Amino acid sequence: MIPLKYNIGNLTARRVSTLMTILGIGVVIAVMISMMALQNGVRSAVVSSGSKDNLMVMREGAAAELSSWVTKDAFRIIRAMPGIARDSSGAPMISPELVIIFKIPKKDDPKGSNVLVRGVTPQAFTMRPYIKLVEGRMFRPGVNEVIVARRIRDRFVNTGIGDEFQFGTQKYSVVGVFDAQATAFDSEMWCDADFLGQARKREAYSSVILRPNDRDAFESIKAAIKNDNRLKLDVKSEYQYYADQTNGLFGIVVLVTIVTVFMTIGAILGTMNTMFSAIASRGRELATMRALGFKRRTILLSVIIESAFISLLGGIAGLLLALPVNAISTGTTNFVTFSEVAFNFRVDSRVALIGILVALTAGIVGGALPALSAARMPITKALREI
Amino acid sequence: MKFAKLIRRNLFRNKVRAILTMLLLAVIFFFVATLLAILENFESFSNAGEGANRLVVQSAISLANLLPYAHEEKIRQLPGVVDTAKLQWIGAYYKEKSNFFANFAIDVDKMPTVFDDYKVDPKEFAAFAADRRGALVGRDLMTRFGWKVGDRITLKRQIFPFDPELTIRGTYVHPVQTTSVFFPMEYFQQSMVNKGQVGTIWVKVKDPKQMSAISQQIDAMFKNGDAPTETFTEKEFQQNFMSMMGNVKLLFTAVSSCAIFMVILLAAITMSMSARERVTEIAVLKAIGFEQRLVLGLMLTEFVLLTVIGGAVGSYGAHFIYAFVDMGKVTQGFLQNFGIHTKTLAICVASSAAVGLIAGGLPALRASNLRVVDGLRRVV
Repeated sequence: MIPLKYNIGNLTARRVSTLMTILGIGVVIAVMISMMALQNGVRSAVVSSGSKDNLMVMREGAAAELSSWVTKDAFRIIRAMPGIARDSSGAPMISPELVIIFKIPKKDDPKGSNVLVRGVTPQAFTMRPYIKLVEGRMFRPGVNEVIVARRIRDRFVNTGIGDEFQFGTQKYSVVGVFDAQATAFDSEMWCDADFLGQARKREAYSSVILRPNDRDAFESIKAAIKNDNRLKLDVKSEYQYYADQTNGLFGIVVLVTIVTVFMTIGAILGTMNTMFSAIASRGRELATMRALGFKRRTILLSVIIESAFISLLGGIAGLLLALPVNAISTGTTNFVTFSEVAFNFRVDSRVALIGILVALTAGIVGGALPALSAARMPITKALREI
Repeated sequence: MKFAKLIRRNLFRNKVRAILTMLLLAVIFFFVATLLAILENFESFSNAGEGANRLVVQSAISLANLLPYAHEEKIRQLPGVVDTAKLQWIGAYYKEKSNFFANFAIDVDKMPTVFDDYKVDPKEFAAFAADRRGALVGRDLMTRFGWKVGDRITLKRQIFPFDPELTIRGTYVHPVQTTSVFFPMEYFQQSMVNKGQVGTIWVKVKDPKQMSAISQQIDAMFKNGDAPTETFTEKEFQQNFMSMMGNVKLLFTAVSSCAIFMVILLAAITMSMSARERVTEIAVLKAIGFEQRLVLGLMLTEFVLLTVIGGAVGSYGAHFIYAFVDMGKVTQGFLQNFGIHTKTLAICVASSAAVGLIAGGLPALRASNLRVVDGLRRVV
C-alpha cells in the first residue's frame, strides 16, 4: 500500500486548489445541512409534540383544533367516563381547551401573523409536565393575563412580561414566559379557558385532552366516545394529532428533498472534477510508481483515499459553516392550522452525520472514475509525456 | 471569427475535464433555475388578479373569524363600487388529504361581474347557476383528476362540518388560477350553525385609482363595530398568504448564491489547471506576435463559453423537463402551472457567463501576462 503520507504530501503541494475544493464541497454540505436542520426544526416543532398516552377529543372530521368544537355538555359526559387517570391530588386528568388564533404584529413584519392562543385549566399543565414557566408567574384564572412561549416573545411585538397587547376589544397583559421543549406549544400563548371563552364569546371548547388509566382504558374510552351518537366526536392520541399536521408543511419537505439531491450531485461532480485535475498533473509520477512495482489496485485505492480524505475535510468544513444556523429562530405557517410555527434550525448529531457521510460518499464516488483512469494509464505513454 | 477553431480546440483539449465542468454547471443551474422558477411561480399567484380591480375584505381579528352578511350590503352602496361577492374558502380535499387544491363557496350570480376574468362557456355557466350543488372547476384541475363535465364528486371536510357533494357543471379558464373548485354559497350556508356569515367579501371597483381610498373607507366604516375588517387589494391578499410561509425569497436566494459560489470555486480550479497546462503554448503564441490582450481575450472567451454551455444546458434542460413533466402532480398541487420562463432562462445564462469571468479571470490574466522567455523556459 502507498503510505498515506504520500496523499497528504499531494494535498499540501497543491495547497490553493486543495483549499478551494474543501471550501467548495464545504459550501455544498453546509447548504444541505442547513436545509435538513430547517426541516428538523419544523418537524420537532410539530411532530414531536403531544404524548402517546394522552387522548385528544375533537369534532368529527376536524383537521385541526381551530375548526373543532366540543360542547360543555359533551365535556361533562366524557369526564364522567370510567378509566380516566387521577393526579396526585385526586382530580381527574382531563383538560378542556379552547383554541383561537390572534393576529399579532411581528417584530420584522408589522402586518403580523396568526398566533395560536390556548385557553386552559390547571390540568393542562399536569398533563404536559415538560412545559415550564421560565420567567414571571402563572396567569390567574378569570382575568386577562396570558403567558407566552419564549419563541413567540422573541418574534412578536409587545409580548414580553409587563407588556399589554390589544386583540379585538380586549386588552391582554403578559405575566409569564414559558418553554415547552421545542414542541408545538412553543408557538402558542396560554391563558385561562373561561376568560378566553367569555372574551371571544365562545360557548364550546375546541378540544378535550385526557389521560386514561392504562392501555385497556385507552381503548375503552376511545370506543365509548366514538360510539356515542350524542357526541359526534372523534378521538386520537395527542401524538397522532400533531403527527397528522405535517400535511400542512409539505412545501418544506419538497424543498429539502430538491436541495439535498442537487447538492449531492454537485458534490460528486465537484470532487470528480478536481480529482481528474489532480491526477492529470502527476501522470508521470503515478507511472513511475507503477514502474517501481506498485500494483494498479494500489494506485486505485490511493487515489480514492485521497479523494475521500479531501471531501471528508470538505464535509467537516461544511458542518462548521452550518453550525451558526443553529442560532436562527424563525417561523413558518402550518397550512392546516393557519397559525405560526416558530422553530429553530436544529443541527443535531443525525443531521451532522448525514452531511459528513454524504461528503464522504461524494468523495468515494467522485474519486472512483479518476482513480480508474489513473490506474489504467499505460506506463510507457505516461512516462514519455512532458 | 478566425480564432473560432483555436478556441474550440482549446475548449475540448481535455475532453473529460471540459465535459465534467459543463455537467457540474448544468446541474447547478438546473437547480438555480428551479428555485427561481418556484419564486416566480409564487409571485405570479399574487398577480392573479392583475387588472381586475378587486379588493378583498376579511376580518381584522383573524383568519378564522367570519364577517356578517350585513357588511356586504353596506360595502356595495359605497360610491365607486361596481359589485361585491361573498367567497368562502372551504379547505376540503378530494379522496386523499394530499390531493390539495383550493375550493370555495361563492355567490354564483355575482361571478360574471366580480370575477369577470374567469372565462366560462355561457351554456356551462347557465347549467352551473341552475344547480344548487353544481361545481365550476378549473381546467387544469379537470385534467389532473381526469374529471369530465357531468361527473359527480364528493369532497371531504376539513374545517366545516359537511362533505360537499357536487356535480361538475362547467370548466373555467383563467391565466393564472386554474386549479380551483367553486360551488354555490347557499349550499355552504346550509351546513353552518351560525348562518349569514362569510370569510371574505370581494369588491369590484370601477376605477383602479380609487382602490386605496375605497379600501380605507371600508375599514373605517366597521372599525368600531363587532366585526372590524381589514381590506387588501387582491395582490396584497395573495402576498399575505405567501408571506405566511416564511421568508422563502431570502431562503431561496441564499441557497442559490451558495450553489453559485461553490461552482465558481470548483470552476476556478479547473480553469487554473487548464491555464497552467498551456503556458508554453501561450508563450509561443506571444512569440509569433499575438498581443497579450488578444491572448487574454481568447482564453476568457473559452472559459466563458465553457460555463455558458453548462449553464444553458442546465437551465434549458430544466425548461424542457418541466414542460413535459406535470409538476402539479409530482408535488401534489404544491406547484401549479410550473415552468421556466424566458426571464429565468436569461438570468441563468447571464449568471453562468459571470461564473466563467470570475472563475477564469485570474488564471487567464496570469497566463497571458507571463513573459515569453519564462513561458518557453518552463517545463510543465
